[in-house]
This record gives sequence, C-alpha cells and structure tokens, in this order.
Amino acid sequence: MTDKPQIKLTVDGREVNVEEGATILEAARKLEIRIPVLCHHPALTAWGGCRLCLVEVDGASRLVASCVTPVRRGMEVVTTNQRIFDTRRMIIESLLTERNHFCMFCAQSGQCELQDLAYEHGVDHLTLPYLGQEFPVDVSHDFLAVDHNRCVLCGRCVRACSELVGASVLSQINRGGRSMIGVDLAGGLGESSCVSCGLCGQVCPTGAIFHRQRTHTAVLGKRRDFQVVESHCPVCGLLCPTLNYVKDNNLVRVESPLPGAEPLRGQLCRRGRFEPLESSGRQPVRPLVRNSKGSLSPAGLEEALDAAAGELGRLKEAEGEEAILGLISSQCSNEELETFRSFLESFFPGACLDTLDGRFFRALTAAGNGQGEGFKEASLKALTEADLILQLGADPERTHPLVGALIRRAVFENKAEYLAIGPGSLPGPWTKMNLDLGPAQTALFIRELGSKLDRSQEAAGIKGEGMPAREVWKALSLLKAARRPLILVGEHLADQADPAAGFKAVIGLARLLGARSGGELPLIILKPAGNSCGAWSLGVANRETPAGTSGFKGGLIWLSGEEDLPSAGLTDGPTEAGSWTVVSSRFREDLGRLAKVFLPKAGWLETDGTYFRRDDGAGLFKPRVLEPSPELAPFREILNGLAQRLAAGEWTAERKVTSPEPAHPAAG
Amino acid sequence: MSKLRLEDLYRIKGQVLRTNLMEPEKKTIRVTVHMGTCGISSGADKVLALLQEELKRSGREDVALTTSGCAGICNQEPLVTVERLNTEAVKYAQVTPDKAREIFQRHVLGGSPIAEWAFARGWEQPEKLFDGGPDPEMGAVPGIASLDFFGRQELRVMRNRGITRADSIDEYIATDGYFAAAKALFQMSSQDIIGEVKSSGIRGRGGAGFPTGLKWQFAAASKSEVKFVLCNADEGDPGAFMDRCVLESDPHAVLEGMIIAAKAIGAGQGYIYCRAEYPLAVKTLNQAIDQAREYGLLGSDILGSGFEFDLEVYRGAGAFVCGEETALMTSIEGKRGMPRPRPPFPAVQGLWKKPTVLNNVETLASIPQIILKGAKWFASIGTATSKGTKVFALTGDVRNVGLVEVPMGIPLGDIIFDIGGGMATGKKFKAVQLGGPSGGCVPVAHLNTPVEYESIVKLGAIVGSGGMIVMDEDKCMVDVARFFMEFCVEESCGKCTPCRVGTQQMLNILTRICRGQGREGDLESLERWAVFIQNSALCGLGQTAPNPVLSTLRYFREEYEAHIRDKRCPAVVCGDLFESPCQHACPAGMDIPAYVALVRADQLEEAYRVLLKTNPFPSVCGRVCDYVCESKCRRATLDEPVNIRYLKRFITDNAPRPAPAPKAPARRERIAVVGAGPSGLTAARELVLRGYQVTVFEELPEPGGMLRYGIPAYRLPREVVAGEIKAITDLGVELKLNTRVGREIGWEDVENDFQAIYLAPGAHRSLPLGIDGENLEGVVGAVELLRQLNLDQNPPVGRQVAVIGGGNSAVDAARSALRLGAEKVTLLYRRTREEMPAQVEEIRAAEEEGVELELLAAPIRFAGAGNRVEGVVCQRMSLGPFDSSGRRRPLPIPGAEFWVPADQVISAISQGPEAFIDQAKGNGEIGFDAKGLILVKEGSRTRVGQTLVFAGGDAVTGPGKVIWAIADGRAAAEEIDAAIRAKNGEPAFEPPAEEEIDIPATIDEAVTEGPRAQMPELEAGERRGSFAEVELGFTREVALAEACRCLRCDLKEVAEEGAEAA
Repeated sequence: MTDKPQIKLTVDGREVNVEEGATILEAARKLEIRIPVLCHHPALTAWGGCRLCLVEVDGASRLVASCVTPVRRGMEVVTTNQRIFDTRRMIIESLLTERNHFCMFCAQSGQCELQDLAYEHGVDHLTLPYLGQEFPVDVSHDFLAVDHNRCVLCGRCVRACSELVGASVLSQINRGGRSMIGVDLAGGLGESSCVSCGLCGQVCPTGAIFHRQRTHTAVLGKRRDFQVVESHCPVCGLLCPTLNYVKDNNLVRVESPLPGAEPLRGQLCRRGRFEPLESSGRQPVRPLVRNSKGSLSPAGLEEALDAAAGELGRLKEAEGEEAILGLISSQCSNEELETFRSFLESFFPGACLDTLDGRFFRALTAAGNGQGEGFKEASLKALTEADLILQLGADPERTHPLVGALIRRAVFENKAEYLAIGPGSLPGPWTKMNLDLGPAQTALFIRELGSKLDRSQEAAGIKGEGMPAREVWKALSLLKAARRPLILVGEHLADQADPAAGFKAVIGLARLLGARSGGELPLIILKPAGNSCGAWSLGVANRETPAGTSGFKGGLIWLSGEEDLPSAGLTDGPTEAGSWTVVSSRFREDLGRLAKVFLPKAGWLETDGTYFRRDDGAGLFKPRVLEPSPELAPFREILNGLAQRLAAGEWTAERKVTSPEPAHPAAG
Repeated sequence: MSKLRLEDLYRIKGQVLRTNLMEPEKKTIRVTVHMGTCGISSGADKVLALLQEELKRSGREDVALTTSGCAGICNQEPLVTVERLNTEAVKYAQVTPDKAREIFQRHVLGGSPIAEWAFARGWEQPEKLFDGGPDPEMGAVPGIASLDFFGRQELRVMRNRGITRADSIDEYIATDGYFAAAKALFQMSSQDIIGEVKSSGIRGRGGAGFPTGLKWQFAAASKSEVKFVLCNADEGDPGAFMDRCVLESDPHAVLEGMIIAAKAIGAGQGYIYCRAEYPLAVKTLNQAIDQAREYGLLGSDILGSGFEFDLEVYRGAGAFVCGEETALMTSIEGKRGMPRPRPPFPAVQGLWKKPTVLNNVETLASIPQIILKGAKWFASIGTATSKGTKVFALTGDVRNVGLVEVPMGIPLGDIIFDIGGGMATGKKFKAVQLGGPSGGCVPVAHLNTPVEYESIVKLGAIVGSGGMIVMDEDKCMVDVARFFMEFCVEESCGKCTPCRVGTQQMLNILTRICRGQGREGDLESLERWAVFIQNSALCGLGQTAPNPVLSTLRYFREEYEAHIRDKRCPAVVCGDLFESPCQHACPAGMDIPAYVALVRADQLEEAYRVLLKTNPFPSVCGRVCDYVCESKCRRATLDEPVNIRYLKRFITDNAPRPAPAPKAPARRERIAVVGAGPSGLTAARELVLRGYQVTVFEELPEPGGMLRYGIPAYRLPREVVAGEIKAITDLGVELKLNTRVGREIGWEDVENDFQAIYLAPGAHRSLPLGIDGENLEGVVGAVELLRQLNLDQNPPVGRQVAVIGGGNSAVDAARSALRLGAEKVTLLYRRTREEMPAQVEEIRAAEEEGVELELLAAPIRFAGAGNRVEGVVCQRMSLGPFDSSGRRRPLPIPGAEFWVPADQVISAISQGPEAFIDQAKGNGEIGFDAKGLILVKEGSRTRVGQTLVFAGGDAVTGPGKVIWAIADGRAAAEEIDAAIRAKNGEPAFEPPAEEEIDIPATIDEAVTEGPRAQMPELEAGERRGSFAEVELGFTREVALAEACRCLRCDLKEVAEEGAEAA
C-alpha cells in the first residue's frame, strides 16, 4: 500500500482512480482499455518514442504518448477515435515502409509485435512509398544476429542492456533516418563487450535481433506454432524461471518472464538461454559398450545394462567396494540425487559417494567449523544494495553470469566500488581494483585485510610474502569507507593445498565487517552447480575427504546436463580411457571414452524434479520442458535395470525415493 | 587577486572609467579592432597583428590598442575604431592590413582621419566610455546614428558590443556589470527577483517565447535541495548567430544573468551548454568564468553575500536537437542527446531529475538590466505581449548583413528595408524566413506585420531565436522548403517515428518536386504528413519541422504547382527542370544559349532561324523586350548578365531574315483572330503553320497593335515592325484591316464563319485618374496621344507638359512630347524612382533628353482658366507602410501641396481594353473582371468558355510586355489546335521534324571578369525633334565579345563529362 494521493480522470468516458504519477496507459489498463504500444515494455523505463500509444487529451489537436504522460486530475482521455486510429496506422505504415519488413522472410514472423499491430490496424496494403535505405546485418555473434533492416528503433534492446543487464553495450547511433542500434563504439556484436545474455533479442519486438540457433523454426505466417512451458534453469543455482518455446517436442527458444522479480528482474544468462539450445542438437540415445578390442560400439539397452552390471560386479569382486566411487553431478534434482545415493548404498555400501563439487563444500565446511559456528549468507539482493563489492576467487561472469549483471548494476546505479581479487575476475574499466592472485596469495591478502581491519590485532606492516602492499592499503581504505560492503566468494578459493584456508579468512573478514539484519554476514558464496545446496543438505556429497586417486579403481559417473568433469574436481578419480565402469549422461557422449559402458539417460530438460534454492534453501519444483524420447531410458529405469541384474527384486528406484517436500513448489 | 566585496565594484568601475577617460598624462588615443569570429574570419587578426607591430615600432605610449567583439555589421568586417581625445570616434570598415598601416600612420599618429575609408563617425549608443566632438575633416562621413542600420537599433542585450573588451571583467564592471547581481543578492528576495522579471514581461528569446518569470516561479516553487540553472548556448538554426555575438563580446552579461536566476530559484550550480563549433565563445566563456571566480563573483559567498553558485561550460557536439531543453539536459547527463517527454517539465524534474531552469543566452543577458533598471524600463518598449528588444541575425539577400537589435513590434519591412538596406541584388524581395527550421517564410504582402510573438505566429512563422533570412525573387520556395526539410532529416534524433520517418518522406516528395518528378496529390501528401508530424512527434524539433513546408505552401502554392504541373521553376533555381536559366525564364522559351553560341560562331543566319522557332518578332524583342532572361543569367553571379536582348537584335540587324515558305492550307477549319498585335499575329502564324486558314481582323489601318501604335518609333522603328509582320502575312495569314469586329463585321458572322476565335484586341484605352479637371482641354491619355502620333496625325503638344505615371507608357509619352516640341516635360510620379515600373534605361534616357522627374508627387486636380488646363495641383507624398506588392505606399503629407504649371497633361497611369466584345457577345459566355479584362477558364491559359473562343495578350493580362503577348499567342495556337483536334477525335499535333541546327559547344577555359557591352546611342542632343531610333545596335566586334561572355549553362552534359574526365 502506498500513501500517494489518488487521481480521478476519465478515459473514454469512464471514470477511474489511479495513483498520482501513474501514466495514462496505466489508467487505461486499469479499465482494461487496450492501447497499442511498441517501444513500451513493462520491464523497462518509459521511452515515448514510437508514438503508437498516442491518445487525445482534453480534445487537444496534439496527441500525447500515453505510456509516458502522467495523469492529471480531471483529465479527459480519448484512446480511440478515427483521428487517433489513422495516426496510429500512419505510424505503423511509416515503420513498415522505413526499412525491410517483408514478414515472409523474417525469422520472427508470427511472433512480431509490429506484424500484430499491422493486422490489428487493418494494414493490408501500404499507402506510403518505401524509403529503401539499406542497413548492415550483423552475424558476428555466436548466438544472436542483428538485422538492422528490421529495426524499428524502439530502443527496447538499448534500455534492457543498460537497465536490466547493466552492460550498456547497445546504444543508438547516427541521426535521423540513418539512426541505428550501435554496439560499443563500433563494430559487430561478436567482437563487442556483449555478455551474450540474449535479453536484447527477447525484448526486440520485431526480427531485428534474433537467435541464430533456431532461425525460422516457428515461422508460420500469423500463427505462433509452439507451446510455452514454464520451468527453471538448474544450471547455476540461481534457478531462474524460464519460458521454454517448444515445437514438436523440440526446444525452440528459451526466454525469461518479464518483468521479473528483483533483484534479477527477469533476466536470463547465456547459460540458461542459449546453452540448452546448443546441446539439444546432439543427443545420443544409443548406449555404448567397450568391446573386446577395447573400442566403444553401439549396443541395445539390455546388452549395455548387462555389461554394466557385469563390470560393476567384477569390480566389486576383484577390488572390493572401497575401490568404487559413485560420482554424481549437483545439477541433478533432489530425486535423482537421492535415488543414486540409495542405489549405491544398497548395492555397494562400502563404496564412496561424492558429488562433483564435494571438495568445495568440504573446504567451506571445514572453514565454517574452524570458526566454531555456522553462519548465514547474504541474499543476492544484497548485491544491488552494496556500495562496495569485494570479489574473492570468483568468476561470476563465467559461472553465474547474472551475478555479473548485479555487480554491474551496483556499480552503475549505486556507484558501488568493485574490487576483484584472486583467480577469476570480472574485468571492466569500472573495476576499482583487479588483482590477479593465485588462491593461496588471495587467502593471504584476505588475512592481511582482516588483521588490518581488526583493531584487536597488531596493526603492523604487510606480513604476507609478496603481498602488494599498496593494494592492501587501498582495499582497506575503501573497505573502511564503505557503508554496505559485501564479499563475493567463488570456488577458486578452494583450489589450493589447504582448501579451507581461503574460506576461513573470508568468513573472518566478513565477521569483522559485521552482520546485517537477520544475522546475515555480508558474504555471498557462489555455489558451483545448480543443486549444490540440495546435494549438500541431502548428504550426497561426502563429508569426509575421499581417499586419493589411487584408491579408486572405477565406478559410476552420473550427469544431468553439460557438466565438465575436470573442472568439477575429478582429480579424485581415474581419468584414463575405460577407467570408469559406467558413465550415464544425456549430453556428454564424449565422456563415454572414460567408461567401459556409456548409458544415455534423460537430461534435466526432460526430467522434472525438486531443487533447493540458493538464497533461502527452499525447495523448488522444476517441471520438465520436453517429453523424453521413448528410446531414452529415464534415470530410474537405468538404476532399476542395474539393480535387477545385481540382485533381482530387492531394490527399485521408486520405492527408495525420499525427497523432501518442496517448500515453494512452482506452478506446474 | 582577492575576492571582491560589494564596495570593490564601485572602486573598479571608477578606476576603469578614469583610465578610459584618458587623463592627459595617460593614453589619449584608443584603437579598437573588432575581433568576433566574423571579424577574425575576415582578417581582423592580421589587422591586429599589424597594428601591434606598428605600435611597437612607433614607440608611442599614448596609444592604447585594444580589442572588442563583433560590431554588428558582418559584411563590413574587419572593422577598426579609432578614437582620439576630444574628437569623435571613427569607424573604418573592410580594413586590410595595408589600409590599417595607412590608418595608423595618418590617423592614429598623424591625427588626420582618412575620410574616404571611414565608414561612420561616433558610437551606436550614448553609453560609450569615451567621447569627443566631431572632427572637422570628417564632414561627409555619416554619423553612425544617422545610418539606418545603426540608428534604428535599440541596443540593450548588445549594449557593450564593439565597445568593451570581452576578456576584461573590469570593463564589464565599468558598464555597471555585476551591479545587478549585487542588487539581487543583497537587496532582493527570490520572490522580488521573480516578481521583477515577471512584470518586465520578458519572454524566452530562444524561440518558444515562454514567459521567463513564470518559468522561474515554477522552478522556485519546486522543493529540492539541488537545483540547476542552465544556459542554452547551443545556437543551431541555419543563419542565426545572435548568441555567439553575445557570448564572444559580453560573456559576463550571461554569467550575471545566471547568478541572478540562481538566486531566484535557489540553485547552486549552473551549466552553459555551448556548441563546440563556437570555439571562441567557449574560450571567452571559460575566461570569463575564471575571472568571475577569481573575483569571488562565482563560487561560495559571492561578494560576501553568503550565496553560493558556480558555473561550468559544457560543450555540445553540434546536434541541433540539443537545443531542445530535454535533449540538452540528457546530453549534459552524459547520454545521447535525445529529447524526453514532458511533463514532467524541467522546472519540476530537469537535469538529473532536479528542478532546472533553462534559458537562452539572450534572455539571460537581458536579466541584469531588468534587475538594475527595473521592469518598467524594460517594458517601456515593445508591444502589449512582447516587451523589450529582440536581436535578429539579418542575413540572406539583404544589403546590410549583420546583427540587429530592434524594439519588439517594429514592422518586419522596416528591418529588411531600412535597417537591412533592401535587397543587395537589386532584385525584388520575395520572402523572409523567420525562425529557422521551425519557422516559416513570410511573403511580401506582410511586410507591415509587427515583429512580435503573436503576429508572426499568425503568419505561420515564429520569431524563433532570431534567424532572419531575406530572400529575393531568385529563390525558389520549393527549394527553400526542401533545404529546411533536409536539415530536419539530418538533425532528427531518430527517437520518435513521426519525425524520423515523416521528415524523410516529406523530403523525398519535395526532392521529387524539385526534380520535376512531382505528381498530382503530392501537395496533399505533404499536408497530410505535416499534420501527422505536428500532432504526433515527441519534441519541438519534430512538431515544428513541417512549418517551412506549410508556410511556403500557404503563400507560394502556385510555385509548387508550377513545378508539378508545368515542370517549371518560376524562380529558375531547380536545375533539373531546365537546360539553361535564361531559356527557362523566357516566357516564350527562346533557345538563348543556342543563338548566342551561333553569334559567337558568326553563323547569324542559323541564329536567326533559331530565333524564329519560338518567336516571330525577334527584331521587335531585340529592342523592346523586358528581358527577364537577363535577370536569371548566371553570368551575373560573376560580373554582369550577358546582354541577350541586344545580341538578338544584332542577329536580326545583320542577317537576312530567312524567307518563309508560304503554307498552303491543309485543313478546312478557319480561325478568326481579333487584333493584329503581337499576340494575335503570333497565334495566326502558328495556326497557319499547323495548316489552318486564319483571318486577322484589325480595326486600325496598319497591323502591329501596340508595337505600331503604342511604342514610339525612336524605340521601335516602324519598318522593323512592318518587316516582321510581312513575314507572317507572307506565310498565308489573311489580314482584314480597318475592320472592327462588332462594327464592320458582326460577331455572329465571325462565329458562323469561323470554327474558332482568338481574341487579342489589346488594351488601348487610358484609364481615367478620377480627379477634378480631367475633362479640361489639354488633358489627354498617353495611349491616345501615342496612337495619334503613330497615325501620323501630328498631335498638338503643349509648351509645358506634365506626364502622370511611372511606367513605360508615361516615359514614352514624355519623351515623345519632347520630340514633338514641348519645351518642358515634367513626369509626376507618386513614389520614388526605385518603384517606377518603367525600365531603368528608359528613365535614364528620358532624363538625358531633358525630362524632369517630380517624384513623390500625386495630382490632386487639374486646374485651368475656362476650359483649358493650366496646371496640376499636386500633393507631396511620403512613403508609408508597405503595400501588398512590397512597395512602400505613398502617403500624402498633409498641407504639402504644390502647383505644377502645364498647358498639357498626359495621363499614363494604366490602360484597359475597350469594352466592345461584351456588346458583340451578349450571351455572357465571355466573362470580364472589374477592370474589363477578359477572364479565361481555370486550368487553361487562353480558353474563355465552352465554345471555341480563346483570348490572350493585354486584353487578358492588362498592359504587359510584348514577349508575354507572344507567349500567349503561341499558347493560344496550341490550345485552339488541341481543342479542334479533340473535337474531331484526331490525334494530337505532332510537330514536323525540326530543321537541325548544329550549335557549337565552345566554352572558354578561363573567364575574365568584365562589364557587359553597352548599347551605343544617339547623342541626347540629336534626339530632340527626331523620331530616329536612339539605340544604334552592336558592331560585330562588340557582339562577338558579348556572345563570348555566355557561360553556356545549357552544356550540362559536356560539363559533367569534362568533370569526369578530369
């Protein structure tokens, strides 16, 4: 509830009360009166450029743009009459004749706002001559193409890029009829500072910015020939909501619901928007079995399961259960994690179970325990409120791109100071300090900061070997001046001999900076994978550090998406070809080379399940986007098949699932 | 330098004034070089450097060499002012370094002014720093106040222009600078200041004219810790440079205005948004800001008042749209300068969403004087709704180009003709463009309009920021509209659809029209676009972008239509519509470059054949044409136009006329032509050439009409006329002389016997003056007198003859009267010589022969003894406001009557046709206007009604020039032929294959500038008593040389090929 005064006005003869400061468009919408818009977008600031939303106010001859004009007491608004209709039609025709809007050849036909408006206003032919200026087409970007000939200069992409993404890559350049959308200072999108989030393409009302990956997939004249499936992206743990455009059980496009909630405002990053489309092109469905000559060859599921069960049994027999490692990705849903654990515990109780990010969590836990008590992390929203962001050993631009967006917005909107220290960084001209230190050096740096900040400790000279003293002092003075500092930590900090050392220092520093309301430390720890929280809290990740590489002679690798093994800490397991018994994945057929048996299974797009949200740990139900291919075995079926072969009838996946109730199940 | 307190202002003022008053032991001579951008670009920096050197060499310590800003009159730069103690200042214009050296030696050091180089004496206004008596040696040099350009101005905003140094804050303080700021800071509350500004009535000088005080009040009422004062110095209108002058000459006035504004609204920070294209202004401003800061006039605790305000110059990159206030603010915020929607208005949410006041340079520079001298003083001049003065950048085809500051409400024409000195080109005024790309063109009919916001808006223009572009008749208004639209297309920010697309679409239409590809419906399209853009564009730039098109459409629609329908550019500008300007200008479309080229090649017979293609009367036109062709000759841009008329005569004088082959009638239709004047005979010839049988009825005993009976033989020998007519009758035209239709032959007979009729009876009746005594004996009409003369009836003339009128007939009558034996001939004309419609050569020749001109004299009545006229009572006139033709209307000076004795009075004010046809044709199909002129059907040039009756020449147009009558005749022939063919269902006429005449394409590599050839004439003494031809004709040498002056504009392709080859 706000205490703003209410303004009474009439729209098309009907009275309405709206808050002071509301626009005419908002008043009309309250009455459910439709006013066409083009440059207006609910997630973006008002622009007033396209002029389609013109309405008549108090009978004046000059029309006003309803999307930007605030209401006035007693205003009499007319939203439709012949003159207004003709003007709007002229605007639509102006746009259609200004550049190339031959819908037939446009990737967006059928999902184009300009096209819709033209139909709505009965533009079945043009009364104006074409202007015929030619503009470049930019295909330098991996995912996006920009056809300036289809641009209507609504400026939505420009606003989205600066207001939501904070990247400000796009702007309008040139004047008059030669105006176009410019990228950085010049050049193509592919060579630009673009963060490839794709939001510009999503807000583009026409086919000016479109996805290269699925061009023309859904073009069918006036019809939009696809379903939209609401789901979530499980890749990085922000669990962003997604709108998945599906045609014939193929994923055509991924968008985000706009306007979205703070702090992310409905963005989606490169990983959530483009990568699912990248991978869904190559989908192995046939299992692979290593033959007697040592090479992998296709096999039927039964044959492969036989082989896998045989290999596992042989391994257990020859080396003992302790030599078996079950490694599961934390991108998997709670159900998958649970089932996998249950399977392993039932058949190989002595085997080691771990997640790809287990090492990270063990380091973190060790650090937390070292301090004697647990702590509460800050929510993502704290990023947008911070006036100083100290990034330590994190690479959000790569691992959590939307966190990068929040940092940029903090810098541009709040004039926050941004310091990036340690491996992984988000460099930019606006980075106050960008120090490329190794993990151990970073830990030292943090300790130095802590000791200088803590008055109880002796404040002497810089102690650390090779510490850049100037930077320490500079960071310290900035930290002292900051009113709402925030520390952002990533997994790189754990990449050292004492994985917990960095985290210990960080937690200490965060405590020195003081807790926020609700006991939150000013600290955000970027978890490596989409369901890291789930894997940890369900106890799938091993609490104890598993034995060294030499201890394991084989086992199972269980993946959900496109996880990369080496960077996820597979140093703990064998990496030679054929050294793993079973690899099961939807996407990583290439990983089959590590295994004796490769078992394709449904990936996260085709699986529904529960995930734990990063901020509040609440469970979230992620519906599946695609129907799994009938040739593809679901994860339960594979495990059941193995179970049957290992010990018939004693274990089934369904029975063993004990998934917690999701706290906030997403609407189906 | 320490920060000033209030009392320091008085101290500095006193100091400066004492120094400048030149106490005897100090400097007694002051030399000022005017160093505005305009001056520097004309070479003032070189002049200054030279003077510095000379001064150093002379070792004189009593000479002060100083600089100042623009002195206002741009086309006289560089200007140098020399003052010596106790003598009046002398301004030298167009000073070169050589002149400067001389001036320094003779005037500065030697003490003798150089009268012949002096432009004017004295200062433009009394508040000068330094004064003295007039120099006796400067007798003939005008005092500056007596020059209209300076004397009619009222300098307020520009009060310091050309006087104080722009880079000296002390000199500004000496002219009461910063006293207003002090008054505002110490004695006035915010509300006092706003009240004073409101009651002064000042309105924004940037263009929109919003009341400044009201704007300030809104901003003052907005609650915010942070507020801004902005100065809009992003002057971008084409042809406008008022603000630059103020910024360069008197920057502190702007600073002071901003301090006062800041106090009024409670702002602590200000920005001056100045375009980077004004480097000198930016430099001067920054210098001024530094000085003001040093003096504590900016920054914290200004003058010890506790008030804090500081300023910064923000350079704009030259986008026109950044003159729009919201775009300007967006630009200062560091974003692309694009307008944003209002409301919220800047007074509530402006720069960085804080309350902001944005004023134009001129507005802010006016503020200090309003505060210091009071609102009443400011409002003492101007009109009810527009107070004070306005600075205009007067440019274009006007004689005095410069910056003028005039009281609001001054008639537009006074600025152009008095201050501006009229047209520099000597051509007719056509329109003045006010308000730049957002403004409009005001045509000649509105010269009396007072220059104030409302009146100008009513005309479809705006006062704007003060651009005033004067255009003469050589400017094509479609092209002007196209130019401004092109500007808007270039400068549209591209944000809103209507402006971005609409201006492009409008430009495309305008460009098409200018290229001769205009279509029916284009004007309606333009209007549709204009209304669309006006009503739907986001900002002022877009909403006003169509104004130049709308205003030219409003006043010059026929010019657009000529482009679209006739593919003609009446102003002869749009090059795609013609081969050469002269040919396009000629009403008969004569192929001038061709015959001029043939003269050069000495192929006179071929040249003659070219003449006859379009004009059966080339000998006549070689003598008495009004040669509009020469007025458009491009050679005039170099030196003088080619003497086309006399080259034409040279051809006919020196080559045998190609003998016409008689045409046997090929068609059965018979055509009657009424009147054997040039129009009728031209039509007859054309029709015979198309195979018709033509009979020409002529009331008088000889054919030729006005050529024979109106124009005296000394201008047009009768044998010349007779020769050309014989060539026509030899073709087979039948002439019935002494036959008046309606008298000797009945109208019905003509209608029955002929299939079509062309009425070309001319205008052979003098119109009455309508004053007392017109019936006295001795009062005659000029046409009647000349007819009598040409009928060889030796009309009696008086001893003292008064001729009334200023046209060619009046001059003809006057010169004829002298030849007939009159002792004294006085020509009475109610306006001045410039307004006389007669050709200038005729007036000059008449004066040479002894005709006396009595100008600004209008007859009131004729008086006489008994029945006989003895003289004319005349009224002395003076020129008043402008009439609809742009000439000043003569107004009687009450009581100023005088007597002109005359025993004969010839009235020659105008002529009309004789009212005989309406008697002959009673059914009313032929319509007449109030003057008795025949009305033709709309959409046709000569057709009168449904039946095949056509009319042309003087009987339709009123007394006109022969070439127009000939053109009418040709048009009539075409229309008659087309009408008959249409009636018969025949295909359109296809002209027979034209005889090929090779036109040599010789062009001179280099052009030597020089005057045109003059026509040799009889000595004035030999002319009296003789009707021998006055003009003697060119010799071969003269003609060849003159023909070589032709630039051959028709050879476009050759020129283009040449350019490509190069």
